[in-house]
Amino acid sequence: MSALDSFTSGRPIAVDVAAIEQELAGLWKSASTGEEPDATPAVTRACRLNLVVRCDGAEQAARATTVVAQVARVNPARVLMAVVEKQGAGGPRLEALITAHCAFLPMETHGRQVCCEQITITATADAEPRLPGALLSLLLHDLPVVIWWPGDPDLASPSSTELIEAADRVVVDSRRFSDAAARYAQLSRIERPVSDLAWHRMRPWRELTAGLFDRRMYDEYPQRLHTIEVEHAGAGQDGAEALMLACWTASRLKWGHAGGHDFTGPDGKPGRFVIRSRAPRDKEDPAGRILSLVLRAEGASFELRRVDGVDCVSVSASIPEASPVSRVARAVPRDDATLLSRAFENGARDIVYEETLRLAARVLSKERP
Amino acid sequence: MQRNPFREGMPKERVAEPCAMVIFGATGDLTRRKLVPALYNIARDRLLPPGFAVIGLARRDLSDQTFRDDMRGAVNEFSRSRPVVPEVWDDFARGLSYVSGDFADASAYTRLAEALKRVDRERGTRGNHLFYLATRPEQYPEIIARLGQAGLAGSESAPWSRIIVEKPFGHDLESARELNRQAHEVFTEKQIYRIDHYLGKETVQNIMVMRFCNGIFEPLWNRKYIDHVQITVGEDLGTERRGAYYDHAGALRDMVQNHMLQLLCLTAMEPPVVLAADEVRNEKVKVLHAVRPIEGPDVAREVVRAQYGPGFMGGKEVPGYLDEEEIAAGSKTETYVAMRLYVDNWRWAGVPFYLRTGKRLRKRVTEIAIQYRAVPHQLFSGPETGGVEPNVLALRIQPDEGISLKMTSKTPGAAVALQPVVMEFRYGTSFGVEPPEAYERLLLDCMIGDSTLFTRRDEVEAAWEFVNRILDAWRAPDAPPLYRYEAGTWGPREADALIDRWRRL
Repeated sequence: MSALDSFTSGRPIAVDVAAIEQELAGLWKSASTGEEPDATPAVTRACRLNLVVRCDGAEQAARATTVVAQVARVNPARVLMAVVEKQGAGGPRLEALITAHCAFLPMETHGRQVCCEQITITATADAEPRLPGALLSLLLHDLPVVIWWPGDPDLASPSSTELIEAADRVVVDSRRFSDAAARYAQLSRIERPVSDLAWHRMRPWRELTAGLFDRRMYDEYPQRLHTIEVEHAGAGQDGAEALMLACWTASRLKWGHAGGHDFTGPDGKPGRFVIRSRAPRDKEDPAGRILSLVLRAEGASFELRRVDGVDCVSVSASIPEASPVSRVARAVPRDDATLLSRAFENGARDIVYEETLRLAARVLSKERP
Repeated sequence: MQRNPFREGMPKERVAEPCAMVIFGATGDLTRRKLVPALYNIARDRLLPPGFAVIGLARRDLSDQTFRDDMRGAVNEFSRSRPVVPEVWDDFARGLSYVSGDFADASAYTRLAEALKRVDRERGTRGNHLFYLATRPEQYPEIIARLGQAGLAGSESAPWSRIIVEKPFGHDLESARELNRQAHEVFTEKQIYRIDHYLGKETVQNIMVMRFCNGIFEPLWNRKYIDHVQITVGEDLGTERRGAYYDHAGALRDMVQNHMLQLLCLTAMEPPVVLAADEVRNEKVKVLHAVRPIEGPDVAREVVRAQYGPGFMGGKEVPGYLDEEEIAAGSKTETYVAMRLYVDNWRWAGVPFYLRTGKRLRKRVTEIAIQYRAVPHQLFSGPETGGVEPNVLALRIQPDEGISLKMTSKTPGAAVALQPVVMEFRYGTSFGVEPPEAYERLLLDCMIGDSTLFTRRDEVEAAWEFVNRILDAWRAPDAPPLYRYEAGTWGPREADALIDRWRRL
């Protein structure tokens, strides 16, 4: 198999770090002509953004590459994957691989593909400081730079700081954080728009909650709510998204943090939230998934509950002297590729997310011994 | 604290208030193929307001359950998201009910009023009612009048009532004015939503975005730089199951009066001051008022009409128009129209706009092509260069939505040989998501009260005014001929006299 065939079929080709651009230019030139014997079909190179992916270890990089390949179908990007191998030996070393992600055009009948490139640079642990420089020199100019940490990043490290400074948007997944308190605090100090896949994952819950209170008959209830209950699958340590949802609810109600899970409403009345965990009922209930959100006021309750076995949430409300109202809405869990694509949609800062994040950081910092 | 604090940070302008929708003609094709599938998709995307209800009204005697079952079948057959998700469908279907009755029978409206009261009480729709006329156009006046008599016309503000009127809005200028008058006896203009589903298409909406959000196009969007504009709406299908309607309407009424003139307006309009319904529509109406009338003997010179004969589509033999179902023997209805028109204002004076539309053309394509003027001096001339083609900016509406820009480039090598190259932007590959159906967008807009993508009274009448003059000339004793074209071609050869070269699509 020729280098070109390897490249366009997604197999990585090892190249010298200093010659990456040159190698890529040669491969794209051959790929676009399609005139070689045993012709590789002509391809169109496309690029909407620079996507820097920072991984710890080959296993995480392999998972991230699968996600990126899906994302590239709808958001063709120059993917710069940085992998740090903690176990590396033999002195500081950087190695580079290049490959292409190709997809056939939906309405194309002549086998033409749209492709984009992935450059993977693997560094030994002691070569990590050299990684940002190598990556940033490969950014395509005039295109936005998004940096995605698929794992649990130390956002305050010097190399992270260097990458964040070059980025237009930072993407994390707080579901993966091992020390949520520290990470939330770091995130809230970043001066770049942040997208949190966990935040996008809980979007249906936020939309359905908002939809519930669109009814004028419930107008007075947001200020009368006193308890927020969130239940999630898994054990207590899997509750990052549940905490985030509870903090979003509390921050929208303008509750002030009074310590632990206790709050004070704008009118001085106390409020609190409760986060419970439940063992997953089936294999499709991953740890951390939100199972229910219940908002309580005196004599009234507003409930959103995942319907077991289907991708739906039942929404119901019960207030005094009115018939209970209920509906079922579709809430399909999105895979990481979809969530990541969603993170590219908007370049602006998400003020509501940032408020939620700050509150979550405060709650966790108070919980720390 | 705002009224619904949970809406903060969400696009609140896209949230509809709880309401009930009444579909007149609930057993018809439009309801089955478009309306209920669109409503289901809106529900599936969690965009329907809570408590939303549909009351179907038609003559057939159906139970609520039979109506629900029929609609489930329709969604499973026609929805872009088929098959239904049972849990979402069950929830949506709880809001579906049916009232049997004749549109001309007052008691049907009494039953409808009772059903609306029940729905308002049980589902919390608060008296907000949306009426959809999915019936034959000749039934519109009767239904509108009966709604008024039954006290169902409501008001502009909460609890609101709105009415959506399907095209055709009138058969000519006089009937359009009469329908407007009748509608205004019962509803205010703000309550009337005249639907043209073309305006709900993503790429049509993108015309304004592309023009007014990109600094590079607008400075070149005028007579100084543009040679001409071609708007093509080609259909590969024949009359299908709409023969009776189409034979009465023809291409000029069916396509030009609404869809094509709307595309013309969006292409030629000035930037509105703000993105508000009336501001946008004011600018569109100004374009229609600036279109130079084509009348009398000019019609023969500026407009070509034709009817398709038998031919081949995709290698398969297809019948001519006169052999299609429900077409009157010897019909003189045009299935193709091409015209050259001018927009007489400062921006467009002297720039011809070429419009063509037809059935059984070579392929289904809708496109607006802006052809720029040739460079003033040909630096690269001579046969060895291959010639310089003018720049063309093409906005493709369907089926392969996107934008392309044709430029001239040097081919590699020692010789100066030139070749046109095309820069393409495709919706499908750039965003990779399926855009919502036009009806989904428009139904939701109406529930929200956003009439930007609906046609205003003066727009409809201005469009008919232009079209009416052509219809008058076609009815005159010395009317221009109705030409023939072979199915599967790009129309009659006579249309080539209008323009140097039509776009090859």
